[in-house]
Amino acid sequence: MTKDAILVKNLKKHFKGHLSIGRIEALKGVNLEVKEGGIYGFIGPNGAGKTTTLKIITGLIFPDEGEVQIFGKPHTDYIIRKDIGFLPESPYFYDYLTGEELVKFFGSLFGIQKKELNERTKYLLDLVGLKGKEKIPLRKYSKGMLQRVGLAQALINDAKLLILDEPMSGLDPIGRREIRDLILKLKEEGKTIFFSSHILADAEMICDEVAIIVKGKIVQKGRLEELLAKDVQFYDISFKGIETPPELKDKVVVAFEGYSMIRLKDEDEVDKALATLINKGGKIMSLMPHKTSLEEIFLSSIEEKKNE
Amino acid sequence: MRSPILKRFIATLFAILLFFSIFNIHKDLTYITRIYPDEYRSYYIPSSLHAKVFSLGYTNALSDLLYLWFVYYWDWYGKNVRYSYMEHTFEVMTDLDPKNQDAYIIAALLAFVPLKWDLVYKFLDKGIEKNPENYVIPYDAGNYALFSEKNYERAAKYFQIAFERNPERTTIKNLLAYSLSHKGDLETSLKYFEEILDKYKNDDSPEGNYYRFSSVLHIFEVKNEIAKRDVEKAVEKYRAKFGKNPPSLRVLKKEGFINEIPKDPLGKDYEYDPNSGTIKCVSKFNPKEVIGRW
Amino acid sequence: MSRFKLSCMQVIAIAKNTYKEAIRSKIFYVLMAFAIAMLGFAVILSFLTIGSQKRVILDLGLAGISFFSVMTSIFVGIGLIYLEIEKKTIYNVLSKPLPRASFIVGRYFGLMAVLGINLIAMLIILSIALLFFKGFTPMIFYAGLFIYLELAVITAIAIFFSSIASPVLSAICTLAFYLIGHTSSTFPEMLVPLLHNDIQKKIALFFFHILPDLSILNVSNLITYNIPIAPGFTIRGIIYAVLFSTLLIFAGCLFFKKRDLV
Repeated sequence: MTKDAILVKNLKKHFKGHLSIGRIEALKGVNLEVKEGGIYGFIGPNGAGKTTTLKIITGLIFPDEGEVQIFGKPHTDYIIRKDIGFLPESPYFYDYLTGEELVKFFGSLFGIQKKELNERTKYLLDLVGLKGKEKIPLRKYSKGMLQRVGLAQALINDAKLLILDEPMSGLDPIGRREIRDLILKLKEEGKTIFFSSHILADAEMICDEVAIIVKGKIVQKGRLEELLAKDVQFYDISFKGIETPPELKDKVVVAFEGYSMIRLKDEDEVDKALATLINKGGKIMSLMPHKTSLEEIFLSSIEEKKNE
Repeated sequence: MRSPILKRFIATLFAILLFFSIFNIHKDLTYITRIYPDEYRSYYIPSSLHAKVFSLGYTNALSDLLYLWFVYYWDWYGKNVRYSYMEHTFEVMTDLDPKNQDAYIIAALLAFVPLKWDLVYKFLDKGIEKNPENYVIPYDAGNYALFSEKNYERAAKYFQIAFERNPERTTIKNLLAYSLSHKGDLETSLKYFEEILDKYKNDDSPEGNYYRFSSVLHIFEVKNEIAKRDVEKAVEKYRAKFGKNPPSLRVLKKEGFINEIPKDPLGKDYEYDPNSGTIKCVSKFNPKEVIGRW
Repeated sequence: MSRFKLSCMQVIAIAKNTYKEAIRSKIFYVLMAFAIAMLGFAVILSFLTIGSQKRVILDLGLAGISFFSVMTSIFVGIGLIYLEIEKKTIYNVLSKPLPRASFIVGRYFGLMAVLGINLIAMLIILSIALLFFKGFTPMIFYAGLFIYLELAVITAIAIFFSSIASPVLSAICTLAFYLIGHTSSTFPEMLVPLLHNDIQKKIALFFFHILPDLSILNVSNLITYNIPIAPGFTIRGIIYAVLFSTLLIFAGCLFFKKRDLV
């Protein structure tokens, strides 16, 4: 049986407003189960509570209610964080340190011995593509370089679980691709990766599982392919050899040189239409279900939430 | 006006003009304040207690700063207020830093110039009281009393304090003995002079020679004074009994008013004047000779 | 690796990092320059005095060193925790397997190391100035020890306030604490004559003993006049400062432990 890498149960958190007036409900009962192995995407618009959830998991803030377990142990014990590599949102680092010093500093917080630390730092800076820039102070780093050095420090303890907050923000397309490849490589090494993002394309490309959070509540979660398979928007059937039957006339999208394509909303209609077409001697060229993209799920979730 | 160089030039010119205006106004203001009568110059030094709070515990440093300020600005104030300001400033300074010997001595010196004796001794007394180990301050006070005020009683008092605090310094002992002899305590004076002589008996350094010479001279004088005093006392008693001065010292001895006819330190007789009833030393005293004989 | 050993390593790592931060920041050098200028000023002023020049250098030098070290400790100390939160650098540190107390203690020791080096540098400059005027006494290093003890307390206060309040508020509170600490010894003298009955006087004296008294850690006046240090003073002074700082750091950790780092 695989243990959950992260188990979040009914997490609630509120913040006080400005001057302690008012109450902002940041999380309204969040549940998450991140299985060991694989990549878990935590998706939501800005201000949905992604960062708050991650901060609670890493012990930076304390929930009002609910509990968090990391590999089956409560997260309140700080020693549990030995197994976590964390990259905070748009990382702010000590800008007076050089890249190398920074990674070593964070390594030493894990109690890694000097010799091992030196080797690992070198390896990681190489891995994230900062070779030759180790000796430059961080204040001269670009945003992308900071993101990379942040990733390097998150990997310093060779943790089983990586929590990455917006790992691809601020990077150019090439950089994003490199980070994506790196995440996939880490997955192959057997690590669990839990990352938050508001950029769906990235998530869609690499995630095994996703959860969508909107206004402090999880609205959708599950394996990516299941989520995408759940809602087929419409089916396109293209056929040739016959005239379009009159009952399907209004469904025609394209008719061209004996080819026709009709668009149908649900499966019953498809069954009927197929039966009709085959009966009439038509030749079915293709039947294509049009699934929703993650973006569409995402947008519809937000719409639903708004209407509530 | 389109040219940026011209603009910059005008701006620079304007800045320079501003600077000089401020500079000149400041100069004028300084000049105007200087023609005010001295009494109008502001003086504010808080009380000792407030100064202590204000100093945040760095009392010595604040005292030093006050001292430096005062040394340089003390003649800035009019003569009629100067001394009351000085008194207060040094009061605060010595309260802040009671161990600062210089403060007491400088304060006394400043008060000495117009011969404000009570102020002089006030500061020195405070210094003596606050520094129970210090012998320089009572020595200084003794010097003022002895050489300037010529108040031998006071001088003897201060030198006595200085002597008790540092019995090894011959200067102090010497001046103490000298003050005592003038005050009238001749026996103690003689004792101290003899001790000094004893100490430097075989010392051939310039210092030793000086003290040997000085003490020999003083011993000679003090011994004469003692004899003179004793005779005068006896003469007075004689006169009380017989109504007139004794005709000679021998008569004085015969009547039992003195035990011995006094001899001067060189072993010669004194010259007695029956009219005044006093004796006079007639021996020629050559200290070198005497020192040589010892 | 035991938790204790890990914590020690973490404290050292954070202290080292704090040290690097200070050494590489401009404010450190600005304050250093000020302190050196102050020492130069003491030497120049000493030329103006009538009487003992070395006394002026010693008095003003030690007061200047103490004052500037305290200012450094306050103005660096108040930012020690708060600026980390504000700059968000703390997120990454505290998401490591690190108890929050280790973070505070590490920061504290780091700053104390910086202040120590700063202090030694200034004392050496003062020594050179005094050697030049033939007024050198090794006791200035004894005064330095007590300045350092005071810095330990002030830094602990700054960290304590920094862990619960904003920099401006903690600067005000720490400065107030410093002022009270340096003036409380004059309270009995100031207050008691103003009070009329015995109960008031007793209450006033009770509060006097509660108030922190940092002036007992000020030995520079003793050094100037070479007054012998009373036996038992040194050890009591050290214990006073250490206990005081420990208490404040401990309280700071307690407050910081339950704080949300938003």
